[in-house]
Amino acid sequence: MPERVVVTGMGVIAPGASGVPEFEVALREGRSGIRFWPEAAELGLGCQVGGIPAIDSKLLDDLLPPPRRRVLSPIMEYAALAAIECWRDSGLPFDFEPSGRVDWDTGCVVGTGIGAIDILTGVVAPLVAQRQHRKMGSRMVERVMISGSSASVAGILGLGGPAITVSSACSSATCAIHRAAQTVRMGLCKRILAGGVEIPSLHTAATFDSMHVVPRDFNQEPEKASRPLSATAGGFVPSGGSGFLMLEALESARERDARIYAELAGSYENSGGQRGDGSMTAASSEGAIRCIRGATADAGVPSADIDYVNGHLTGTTGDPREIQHLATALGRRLTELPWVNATKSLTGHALGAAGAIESIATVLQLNGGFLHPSANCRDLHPEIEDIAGRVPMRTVPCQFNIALKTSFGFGDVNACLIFRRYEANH
Amino acid sequence: MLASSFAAMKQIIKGDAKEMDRSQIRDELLSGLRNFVPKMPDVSTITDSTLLSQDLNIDSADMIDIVLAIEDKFSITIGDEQVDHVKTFGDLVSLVAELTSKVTGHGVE
Repeated sequence: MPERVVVTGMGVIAPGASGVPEFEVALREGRSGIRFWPEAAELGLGCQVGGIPAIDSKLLDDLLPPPRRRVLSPIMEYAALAAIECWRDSGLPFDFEPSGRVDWDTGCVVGTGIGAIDILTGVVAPLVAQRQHRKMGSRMVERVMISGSSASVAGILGLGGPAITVSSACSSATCAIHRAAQTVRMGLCKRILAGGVEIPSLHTAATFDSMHVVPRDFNQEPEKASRPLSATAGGFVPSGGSGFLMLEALESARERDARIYAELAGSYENSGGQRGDGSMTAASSEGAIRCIRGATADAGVPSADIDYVNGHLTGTTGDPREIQHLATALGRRLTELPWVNATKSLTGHALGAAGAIESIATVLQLNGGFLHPSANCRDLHPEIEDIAGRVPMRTVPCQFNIALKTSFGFGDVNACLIFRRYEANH
Repeated sequence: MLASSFAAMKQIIKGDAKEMDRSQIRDELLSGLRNFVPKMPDVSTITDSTLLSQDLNIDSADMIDIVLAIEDKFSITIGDEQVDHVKTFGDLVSLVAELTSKVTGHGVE
């Protein structure tokens, strides 16, 4: 009998909002975390706005002893802050103790799309070129290895379950949540911190800038730059951050009387194979549709029962296609779609962390009975004007039961999750 | 280099050369070690015979980073073979004292 998987804790570092309570307020207020990015302007990037989450250095100083604190790179700092919040939020006591016990029942699965690009370019490359590699010391490998964030989180929390990083571009965190859910469901681990982390990087931003997939017309109005679903969308706004959800076997949550935010009722991941209308950078229609249907089937939820969709919706030309795929997958007309919003309209696109931050937004809305506004889309794209009544333009009080979270990443790699209001006897 | 040599020479001539004494080095090292030693004992218990590996749990990787931090702090360069001979806290203090005095010495050659 597979285990039911529930969410018992969350932690988030998002642009303009650190911590779950502040993030919920930002969502409810429709507050954008996008700001002018002076360094991007100095470098002459076309897009000079971004979502740069703050790192609470003081909090980390308080939480961790100097030897552990000293070795954290920025990506590890993001991951640590969100992971420790998630851990505590799930009701587990945090007290960093290097000689303490290992928690063999808990693991972490972390999604990351790009990794430590700024350390590779800003520290490793120059030192090696200057024949000064000796100055990197003993802690550079962990800073640049792709699994640095999961390894760091596991070390800080003393995790003895699986501790891995998965990568699939912009669907990384959603794939991480899917993988973690599978592991818990199969009874292989009681609890897994699942999510993602991405550092906002000028180098990463520049690679997207050269692809012409980021907006250039809103540098003077940063909060208007991220415009998913809009006719005047000019691309996605680069951002970063971190988010974790504690996925836990229901039995374990009940045993320790943990608070349950929601049930992760089902999930699915696939690839479109970059055939047909799919490519390295565009989701194939069939792949995306199969992924959505795979998730609803896995959850045993009829498509008619989906109340709300937290879209991948980035603010690129992919948005109208995504809405069409959604309508096809759910077998509904545009006017009859579930509620749809784009958390990226407020946070920008946190790439490998996006699926985690947006899953947390999904659970907060499900749990809190509201829908956050999908900002900057009053001028809906003409191909999808019919969804006008299904997109909250301002915060809407809304009690709902079943939410679909979708992510479609470069590489034509997809992941979808179904969150359901928790009921003991489902 | 030349300018700094002259500056050092002037200091020596004026008689205010600041050669760090052993207790100053000791204090600086103890304060820096806090960043590397997870369970730092009370500094009053650390003596010249305290073993870095057994007593302070400093492993070879930590030692690499401690050496880099000391190099930065004292503006000296420490060779790998010199590190190999450091076993106790006292060895470390002596090595730093020796290298910092050489820096002053080289300044007037």
